[in-house]
Amino acid sequence: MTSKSIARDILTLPLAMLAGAAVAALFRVGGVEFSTGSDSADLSSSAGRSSAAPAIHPSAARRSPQASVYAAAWESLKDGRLTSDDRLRAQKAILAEWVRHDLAAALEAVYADRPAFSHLRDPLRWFDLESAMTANPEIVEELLKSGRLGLDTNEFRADWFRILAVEDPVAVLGRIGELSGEHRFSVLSFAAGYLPSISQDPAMWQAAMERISLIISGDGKKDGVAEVIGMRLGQANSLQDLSAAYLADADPQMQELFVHAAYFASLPSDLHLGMLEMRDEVQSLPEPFRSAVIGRWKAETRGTGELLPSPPE
Amino acid sequence: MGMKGRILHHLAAALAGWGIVELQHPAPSDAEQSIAFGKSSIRQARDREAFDREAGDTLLRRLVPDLAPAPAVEVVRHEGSLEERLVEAGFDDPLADNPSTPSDESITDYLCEQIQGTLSGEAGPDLSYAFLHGRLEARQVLDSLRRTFPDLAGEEQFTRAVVKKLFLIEPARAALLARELPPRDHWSWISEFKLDAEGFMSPAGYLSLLDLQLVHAPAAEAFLILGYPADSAALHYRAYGDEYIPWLLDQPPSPGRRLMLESCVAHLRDADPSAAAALEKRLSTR
Repeated sequence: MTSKSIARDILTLPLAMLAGAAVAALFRVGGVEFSTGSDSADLSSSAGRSSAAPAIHPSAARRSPQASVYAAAWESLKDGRLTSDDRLRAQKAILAEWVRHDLAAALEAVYADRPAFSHLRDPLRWFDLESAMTANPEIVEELLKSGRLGLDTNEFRADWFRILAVEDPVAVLGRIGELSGEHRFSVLSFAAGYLPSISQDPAMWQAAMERISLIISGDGKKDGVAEVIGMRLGQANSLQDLSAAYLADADPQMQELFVHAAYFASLPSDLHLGMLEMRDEVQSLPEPFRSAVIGRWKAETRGTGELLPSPPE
Repeated sequence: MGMKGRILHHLAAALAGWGIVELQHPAPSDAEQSIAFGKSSIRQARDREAFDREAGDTLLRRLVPDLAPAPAVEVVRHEGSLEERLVEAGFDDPLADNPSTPSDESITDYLCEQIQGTLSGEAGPDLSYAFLHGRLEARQVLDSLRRTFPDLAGEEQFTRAVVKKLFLIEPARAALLARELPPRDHWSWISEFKLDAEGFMSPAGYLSLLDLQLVHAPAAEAFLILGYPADSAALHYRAYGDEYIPWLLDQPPSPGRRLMLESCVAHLRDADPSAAAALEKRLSTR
């Protein structure tokens, strides 16, 4: 550390200290300003404290009166007067009608309450919201763009894409760039799992491969993206179809993907028995695909390579 | 000594400044303190917006005619000594130095298990849901549970167990129960409960805890905390994606927020160097 920087720190360290003190003081002021009296109900002694009827909040009044009633019912449950099972039952009943009047507000309410649904594996499904969403995609997209979901936006987008992927995995693959963080990977894997096999729908397969090629040449190298797509493709396709796809594609990255898929396609069907043996049909694949797949097997089974049938030289 | 060291020194100095203010003034009231720790108070303010309760109730009566308020919870009696019950419930620790004297931790865990069903409204009012939405404060939840479990409420660890459970729901407001714990515990409970709750915690909850820690930690240990947020910043960034940093920038200034932002810069240097540079620039111009 130079004497100059010491001199600078001597000047700036007290400033930092003052800044800390100022921020602490600022919070005090904020606290007084925002403090609210404690008007909470004591639930254990009075279970039904529902007679008070405060005025309608201006933001609620702006919405259609019909829709705001659902928000009011949802809000009234927050006092915890019901058992958790009854509360979930009531919430489900509210949502069933709410989605017909104001789908966006209903979805917002569910996401704002997520900590209370952490024990439900899939709240959107549990509350039967999926069909209302797929029937009104424009409302869902609008809610996504609005930013009203704040930090939950990415999660909501991921949930929405998973719903869409069941019907149209190719469209979701085309929009994967809208997702960030770990949801991008998990939705990618999910959507790839809904791709048809090559022989089922060659046109859709082709469209999917175009999108996957873009993903892989983008950030696909990171976090095992190519590996997980390869696994999904391998689960859906025969070795012969993958071989044809490999030989028809000149892109080395896509070829690598098909080799990886073939590794998964050539796993024995009774894998749970613990015997990692390559299926014999690999040997009859055309070159250079055969060698590439065997090379992959060697890499995957390093240390247990003796399980491999020795390749003819 | 590089840039990083200087940042640490300056943060420590800022913390010291913060600490001095804390020392000179007695702890603020519950309501005051809750705003200091971020979103929980926002949740509280929003949740307490008035609404048309009568219309809501009418709708509920139409939608779910058989809906009735939960019955009052019956008092739960516990016979025998605490030690016997711990063994019976499998919470004893046979490997402890002195197995006949159960550890604080195993007593706390046992008490947590005992109160869980009541807290989550299995057969009575849903205390945890009301607490989540600020309709009950931690203190009220504690009082309610004390009445339900009179034979356990006398245990020194009872409050500790309640705080531990509430931490998972809304850490900043759970922390207001701190005053019920022995003073020597303040630093240790924040660290312990934070570690337990971290995996479940919302970014807002994590940030409020980090601030609490920074305020309560003994000066000598403040340096330790400075290393914590790096992993959490990466974790939150991965989970919440592109919305995370704008959200963090939106939070009221606090030492914890600053630390998390610095950690995001560090995390982004690998993942997205240009975003890291942009964020760093933004931080330095404030």
